[in-house]
Amino acid sequence: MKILIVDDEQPARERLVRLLGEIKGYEVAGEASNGAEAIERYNALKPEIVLMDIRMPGIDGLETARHMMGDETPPAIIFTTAYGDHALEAFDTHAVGYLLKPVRREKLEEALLASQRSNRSQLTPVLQDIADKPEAEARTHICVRMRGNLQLIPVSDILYFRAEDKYVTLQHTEGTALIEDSLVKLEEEFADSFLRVHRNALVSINRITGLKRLADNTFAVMLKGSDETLDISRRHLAAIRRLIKS
Amino acid sequence: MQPSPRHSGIAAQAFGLLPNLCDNRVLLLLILIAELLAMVLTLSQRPGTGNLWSYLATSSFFIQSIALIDAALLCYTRRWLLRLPPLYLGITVYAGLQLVTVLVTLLQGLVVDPFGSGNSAGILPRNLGISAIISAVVMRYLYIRHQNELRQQAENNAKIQVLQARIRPHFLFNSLNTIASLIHRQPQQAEEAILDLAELFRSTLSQPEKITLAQEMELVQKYLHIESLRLGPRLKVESRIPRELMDLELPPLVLQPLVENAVYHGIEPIPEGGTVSIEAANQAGAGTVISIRNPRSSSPRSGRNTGNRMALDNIRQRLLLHYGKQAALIIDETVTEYTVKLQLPDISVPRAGMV
Repeated sequence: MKILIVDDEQPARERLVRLLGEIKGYEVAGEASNGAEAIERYNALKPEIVLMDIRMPGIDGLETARHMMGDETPPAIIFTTAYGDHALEAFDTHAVGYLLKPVRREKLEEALLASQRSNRSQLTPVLQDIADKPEAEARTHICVRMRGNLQLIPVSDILYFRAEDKYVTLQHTEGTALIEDSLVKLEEEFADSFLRVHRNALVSINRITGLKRLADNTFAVMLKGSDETLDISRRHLAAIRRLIKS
Repeated sequence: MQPSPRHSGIAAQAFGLLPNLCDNRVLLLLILIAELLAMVLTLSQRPGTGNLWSYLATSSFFIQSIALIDAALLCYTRRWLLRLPPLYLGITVYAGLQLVTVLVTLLQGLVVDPFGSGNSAGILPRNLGISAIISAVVMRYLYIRHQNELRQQAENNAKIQVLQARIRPHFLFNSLNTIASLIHRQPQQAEEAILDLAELFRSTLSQPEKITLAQEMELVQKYLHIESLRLGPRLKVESRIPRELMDLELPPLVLQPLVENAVYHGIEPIPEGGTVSIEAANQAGAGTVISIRNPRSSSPRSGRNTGNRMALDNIRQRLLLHYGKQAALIIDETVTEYTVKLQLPDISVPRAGMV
């Protein structure tokens, strides 16, 4: 069984490596010190199990786990934490594995055994629960699947989300991607940074440079760093004008 | 300086001031004391002025009736009395006790000597005098005991608060995890970390009133040493404190929690880390300013802020206790940096009786 260890503290990673060395049947495939690195290592190594620290700078453990759950065959994730994460309550109620640091070898062994039974069906609802809480923070990155790999797109690089038929497409500075989230959910999550301009489009507030009057007396928004314009529906026009003025 | 106590606060404060006379044990004690008083009065009679036993009997009867009536009144009015501010409570109880003495004396006069003849004249002032003195002594005793209790309580609270602020669970468990990791590969470092941790905790528990800036900085270094084992190159520290300021006295553990805040809120949330800088400067007349600066993460993670406020409040309270309004904690925030400035007066005279 290949294991990826994710923790921002080197001594913490070292200790897990040592403990895992004492347990038969598991192999440490790699280590990562933050969320972005974890996704990258995950793509390269495709481990079956990820030991994930919850509190990390940048993309934290919960968000990283959520991204990994989006993979076709997601890994089993065991969270580690030193203390005081309210997310633990959610784990307890769903019987999802987590370990308290300093980790005991027996507990680690137990969690590893249990992880082979648990999988996406168990973890996804927990992560969704945590993400749905009103005090939950918006993701800092959106994770998309590209040619069998997970790719992180910083939310700050996104120009807009647009609903098309069954999918939502995301336009960022480097290209376009398909995502599975619904526009309604995205609007809720990024209420501070994105604005609905049309029934089918959410635009990054920071990217709006101005309005453009179209031939039929309707308007479209112009975006920084893009020649594209997005139609504005009559219903949303007033709100956008207010925003531009301020 | 003291915050005006809330309603319930008064009741809780006065609780120790007024013994609970509804309690049988307290009542028994009162009866015993009353009897002792009767004996003292009897013994103080000049020899040969009559039968001491009969004198003891009458004075016992008299004193016990006053004591029992007092006890009954205090028991029944206790709940109401406890709602009064301590001063009014004292005056009310004192006046009540004297009133009971007067009434019982008058009543006894009617029973024993209905026609006012004989030697009962002057008995009222005498009884009132004894009662006034005895109740004043007892109440003074209760007051002092109560004050002591309050002070003890305040001290304990302060200690617990400091302890809680000190043992930030996040820090404790992460440190233990680091040590657990070091023990195998770098036992020397692990040992040092344990020694540092021990000293940090010991300093929390011992709580001298004042330490020098040099001593406080030593604690800060120990703390930073433990954190640097954990955070590695992410944590950089710059410390510039002029040598002549090292003798400055300040309450213990004022600086260290601020540095801990800087690491926790400033360095940890940033993937590449940053620098915590500690500087001190003295300006003649304006006192000494010690400032602690850390970078701010561009995407501030909420949830960490409440802990910060608690630590700052705790330090503010302790500064107030030690310096009154002469010291201050000033926070200076920009988009990229967060600075806490600790302003201390030049002459740091501890305010008497305010510990």
